Amino acid sequence: MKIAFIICRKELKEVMRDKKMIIPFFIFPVVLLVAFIFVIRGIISSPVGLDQIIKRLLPAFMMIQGIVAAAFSLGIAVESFVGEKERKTFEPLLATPISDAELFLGKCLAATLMPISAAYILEILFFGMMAIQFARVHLYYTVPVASILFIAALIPVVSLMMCSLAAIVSTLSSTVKGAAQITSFIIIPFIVFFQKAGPRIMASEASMLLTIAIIGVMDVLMLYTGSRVFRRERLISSL
Amino acid sequence: MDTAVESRQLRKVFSGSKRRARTIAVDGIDLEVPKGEVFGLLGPNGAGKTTTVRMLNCLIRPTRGEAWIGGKSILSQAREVRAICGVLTETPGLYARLNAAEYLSFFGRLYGINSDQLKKRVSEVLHMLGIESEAGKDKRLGTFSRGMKQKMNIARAVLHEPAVLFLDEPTASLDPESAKVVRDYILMLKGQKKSTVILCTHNLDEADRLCDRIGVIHRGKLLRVGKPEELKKHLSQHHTYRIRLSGSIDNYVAIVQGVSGVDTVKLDEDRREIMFRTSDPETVNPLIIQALVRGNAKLLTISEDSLSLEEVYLALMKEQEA
Repeated sequence: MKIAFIICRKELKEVMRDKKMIIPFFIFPVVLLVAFIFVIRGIISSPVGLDQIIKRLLPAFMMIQGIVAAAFSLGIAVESFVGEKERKTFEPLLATPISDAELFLGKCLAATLMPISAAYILEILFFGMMAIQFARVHLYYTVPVASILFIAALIPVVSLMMCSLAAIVSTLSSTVKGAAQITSFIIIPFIVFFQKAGPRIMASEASMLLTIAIIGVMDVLMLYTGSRVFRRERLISSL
Repeated sequence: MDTAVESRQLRKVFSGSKRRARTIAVDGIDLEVPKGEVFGLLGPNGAGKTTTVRMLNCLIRPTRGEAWIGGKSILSQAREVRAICGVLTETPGLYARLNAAEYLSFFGRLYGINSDQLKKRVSEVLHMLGIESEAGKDKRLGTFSRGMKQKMNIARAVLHEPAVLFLDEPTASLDPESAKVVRDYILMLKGQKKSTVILCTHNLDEADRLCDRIGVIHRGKLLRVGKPEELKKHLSQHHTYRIRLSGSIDNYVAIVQGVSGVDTVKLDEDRREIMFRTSDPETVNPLIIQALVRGNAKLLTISEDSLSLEEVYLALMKEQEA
């Protein structure tokens, strides 16, 4: 675990110093947050079916917000797994006395820690700002606990899925650009699906549980595949 | 004599795919490199040098055979082997957004050097390479010159004081100045540190200057192993000599040609020297000198023209093709 943390710390240092990575990471979710607030404000000013609209939209917005922030794991992981190959920095790293599992874990930690933390912070911000907006019009609505728990669980599972996806893609592509193209075929439909199906998923506890279970199983499968394909021999042979 | 690197019938076959044919990259290599030796693996691109080094470093597993680094098996003690090896890769492969200290500390920690020792060791290595002041600044590695990058690469490879250092084409893509930095450092390791170095190169001059012994590798097979001089001697069935005379030399070619036992005579127009080959210099050379003196030639020098490593290498390749 100590080795994984050493790798994770180095990866985070690199990510934090990469403007191309860090600017969209902070700007995009914040823009989304502001956009959602404006939509909610517009809805508040409309008297028709206010309660129903808010009850359906607010948790869905929170979910999208969380997924988008967590999906940044993909960018970081692609940069970490494939970028290392592209910049030819893998060989010296693989020549050190570390195991494949430690390296995989270190990279996964680096790719998931920041997006997960950012997603939780954004959710708290969104929740707080909504409360202020509602208070202005004397509307007292809180997101159901089940929905909050669902979103809290959804963020890490999505983040992990993105990370293992990047590890798998790293064996198929030697360039970050190529990997980004491959992953975009998966990530775009994934987000569009949640955008469309979000209100339905959040309509009942059963559908929320089912969603987490499905993504959880996918996570296990993809992490297993990711760790299987993330092998020294395979990585070195493709350099 | 302690052995640093030993391999027995090391073989690596890359299985084919739709895009790539099945390749025998290394085909039964037997090596024995004693401690403190600079051993050169000499061969053209695709000969199997890098694959051999990668197997010895436990980066890839051999298809067959076994090897030991410092007595540790590459098959069953991969982690231990990697801990005692240092690798200088062909491309520096530095983390562009880290500075020198961060980069070296990262690798130092992976090699298990404790924090107190690490700081000392980082400044020691940077000092040894003469880049202490430059690397000490908070400059990111991405802004370093090519030569500086290669020095950083060396610093990383020797940071944990490896028992065996693998240098894979260390000067292949470097400008002459940076290449000199690397060569000087290898000479320093050889002279002062008495390190065991495995040097992969296709640069014959480099191998000749730096290596104690050379293994010529071609199509995955080790064709010959020996000291540079031994390799040259082995192929020199005929000795070539050069005669330098004062004044005109054209008239004396016929005299040399007339001595029995001389195989071929050539005039080196550029250097104004007569070149001759013989398989029996001990008998033939005194006869030539006598004949030249009788012909009133003003003999300045007679010297043996030794084979260059390039000639040895090409001869071995030709032999292999045949």
